[in-house]
Amino acid sequence: MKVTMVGISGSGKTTYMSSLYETLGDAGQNDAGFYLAPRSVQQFDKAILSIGDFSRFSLVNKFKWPDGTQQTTVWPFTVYYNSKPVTYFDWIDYRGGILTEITDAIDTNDTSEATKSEISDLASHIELSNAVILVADAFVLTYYSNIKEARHRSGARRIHEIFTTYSRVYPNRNLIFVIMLTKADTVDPKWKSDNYAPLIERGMEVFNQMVSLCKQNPTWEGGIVPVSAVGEGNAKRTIIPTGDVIHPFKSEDVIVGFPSPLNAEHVLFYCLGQTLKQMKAEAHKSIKQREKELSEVLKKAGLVNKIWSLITRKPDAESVARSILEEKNKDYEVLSQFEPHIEPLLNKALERVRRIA
Amino acid sequence: MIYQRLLYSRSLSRDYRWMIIPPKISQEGLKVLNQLYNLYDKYKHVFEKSSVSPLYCLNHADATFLVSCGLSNYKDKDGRDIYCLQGISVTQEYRRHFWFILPWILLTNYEGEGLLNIWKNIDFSGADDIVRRASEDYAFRLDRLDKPLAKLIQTPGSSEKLHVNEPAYIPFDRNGLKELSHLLLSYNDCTDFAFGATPEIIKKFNFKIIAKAGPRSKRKNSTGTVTADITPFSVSNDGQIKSIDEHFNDPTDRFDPRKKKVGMINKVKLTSTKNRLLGENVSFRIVSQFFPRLLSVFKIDKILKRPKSSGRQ
Repeated sequence: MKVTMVGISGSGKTTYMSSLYETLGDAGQNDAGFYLAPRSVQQFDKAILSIGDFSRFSLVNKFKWPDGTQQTTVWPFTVYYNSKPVTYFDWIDYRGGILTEITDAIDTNDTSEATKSEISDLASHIELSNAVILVADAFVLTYYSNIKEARHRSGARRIHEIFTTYSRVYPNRNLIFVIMLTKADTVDPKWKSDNYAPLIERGMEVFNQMVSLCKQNPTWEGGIVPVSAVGEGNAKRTIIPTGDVIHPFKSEDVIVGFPSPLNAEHVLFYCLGQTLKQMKAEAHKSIKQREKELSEVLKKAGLVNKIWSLITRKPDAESVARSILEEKNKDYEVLSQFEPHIEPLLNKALERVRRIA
Repeated sequence: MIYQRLLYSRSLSRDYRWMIIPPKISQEGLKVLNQLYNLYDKYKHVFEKSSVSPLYCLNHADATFLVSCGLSNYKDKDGRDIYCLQGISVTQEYRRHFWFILPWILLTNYEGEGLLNIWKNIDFSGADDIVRRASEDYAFRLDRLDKPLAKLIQTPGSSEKLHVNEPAYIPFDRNGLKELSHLLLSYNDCTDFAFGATPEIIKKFNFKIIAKAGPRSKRKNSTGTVTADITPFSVSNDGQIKSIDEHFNDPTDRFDPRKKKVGMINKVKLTSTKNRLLGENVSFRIVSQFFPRLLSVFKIDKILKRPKSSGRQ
C-alpha cells in the first residue's frame, strides 16, 4: 500500500518522519506493540544500513530539525507487531515546493520539463495512494484571523484544488485522508483547551472543502488530528514580523527539551487501519467469488470433462478447481495475517484522530 | 576565458529549483547536475565535519561544469538552512583554456568569496523571483593568477604514479586539494573529478580523480569499497519512479483496490480457461475449437489462406 504526504514547503512533512522514527522507530518505543522498520530483503549488514538511514531523522541525536525534502523520496516500510510483519507500505515524502509549482506551471512558460514531470508524478502518486496525509502548519492556521488568508497561506487552497479535481475525475473511488495539523505545540494556549478541540475546529473550517467532499462521498474516510514532533514545551518559537505582505513573518524553532512527539503514531495507524479495513472487505469479496467459481467449476467435473480436456488440450475442471482453491487458501492466509490488527490500529488511532463525516 | 554561472538552490519561500543557468544548456546537462546534487543531498551529513567543501568537475557534451555543493549563508522562512549547488559552466570552445587555469581556480577561488560562490552576487530579499534566469557571460581575469602554480601545489608526497584506467584517490582535505591541482596537470584535458564523494556518487559517475568523504577520507585507498544502495529511493528528475514492486512482493496487494484496475487486464488473460469452464456458451466453444481442425483435415484453410497472386504464377 502507499501513503502520500501532501503539504506546502515548511508545513512539517519531513519533521513528521522524525516523529515517526521517535515513536515507532524501534520496538520498545510505544505501548501499542507496533513498530516500523525500513523494508529490506537484503543481508543483515545492508538491513542495518537501511535502519541507519531512517535513524538519520532522529531529533534526539543533534536536537536539530531535519532539512527539508529537496527531492521527493519513497520510503519502503514494514509495520511489525511483536516482531511479526503486519503489512508493508510505501511512504512518499513529497518535496513541498511542488504544490505551489502546480499553479506556477500554468502561470509561467518557464517551468522546466523536470518540474512538469514531477507534478505529473505527484498526480500519479495521489491516484495510486491508499491513504493521503494532508499536512498543514497549525501555527499558520491560527496566525491569520482571516479564514481565506489562512487557507491560502497554509496550502489548504491548493490541496482543495487537487482533491476537488480528484473527486470529479474519480467520483466512485474511495479515499482515506487525514488532515494533520503540525507544530501544534506552537499555537496560542487558547487553541489547546479541551485536547486541542478549538484547533481541530479551526482545521475543519480551513479545510472546509475537504470536509464537504468527504461528506458527499460515502466511500471517503477522513480524519483530523493535531500533531507535534517534539511535544509541549520542548521547542521555543521565535516569530519575526517582516512587514512584507508576501512573507508576513519569519520563524525559527529551537528544540529546548527532550522531544516527545504528540499524536504521531495515531496518524499512521489511522491510514493503515482504514486501508486494511478496506482490504479486508476486498478479501471477503474475493473469497466469496472464489467459492462461487469453485462450486460452478466442480459441477462440470467428471469423466466427460476429463476426456474433453484431453481432446482440447486444456486443463480439466478438477485442476482449475485446485488452482482456485489454492488462491482461496492464499486469500485466507494473507487475511489472517493482517485482520487481527485492524481493530487495535483503529482503536489506537481514534483515541486522537477525529473522524470527519 | 568566458564562462557562465550556475545556481541550484532555494530562497526565502520558494523551493529548490534552478535559479541561474547557462543560456545554452540542455535539459540533459541539468539532469546530470541534478543527479549529482541529489546524491550530495542524500548524504550531506557525511560532509558536515569536513574542513573543505565538496567540488566536482564534470565534462558533458554541452559544457564542462565545475560546481560545489554545500550550505549557503541563508535560511528560509521556516529557519531552515539553505543548501545549494553552485559553480560555473564553460563551453567546449574554452575547454582547453579552462583546463589550463583549473588548478589556479581550485586553489584560489574555490571557497569563500571565490569564483564559484554564485550566491554572493544575489540579493536574497528578491531571490524568490529568480527562476531559471539565464546567466550572462563572464570573463575570467588572467591577472588573478598572481601566485605561481608550482608554489601553490607544493604538498608532501604528492608525486604518485597515475593509473591509466583506474581512478586516482586523494584525501578529502586541504592537502588533497593541492594534490588534485597537481594531478590535473598530468592529464591532457579537463578530467572528471569528485573532491568529496560518497560511494553512491562514485558508483553513479565515472570520475577519474576521487577524494572520498567520510571518516576514512584522509587515508588513500585505491580499492574503493562501494556500499550498496540502501532503502529509500528518490523520484528522479527524469520522472522515472522506481516501483517498489520491483523489489518486494507485498501479499496484501491482492486485496488492494488501487492495484485491481491495473491487474484486471492480466487477470482476464490468466483466467480465460477458468472463464470458459464457468460460463461460456458450449456450442460456441465446440464451433470455435473444432471448426479450425475440421478445416485443417480437409486442407481447406490452406486453400482459403493462399494468396490469389500465387495461383496466377
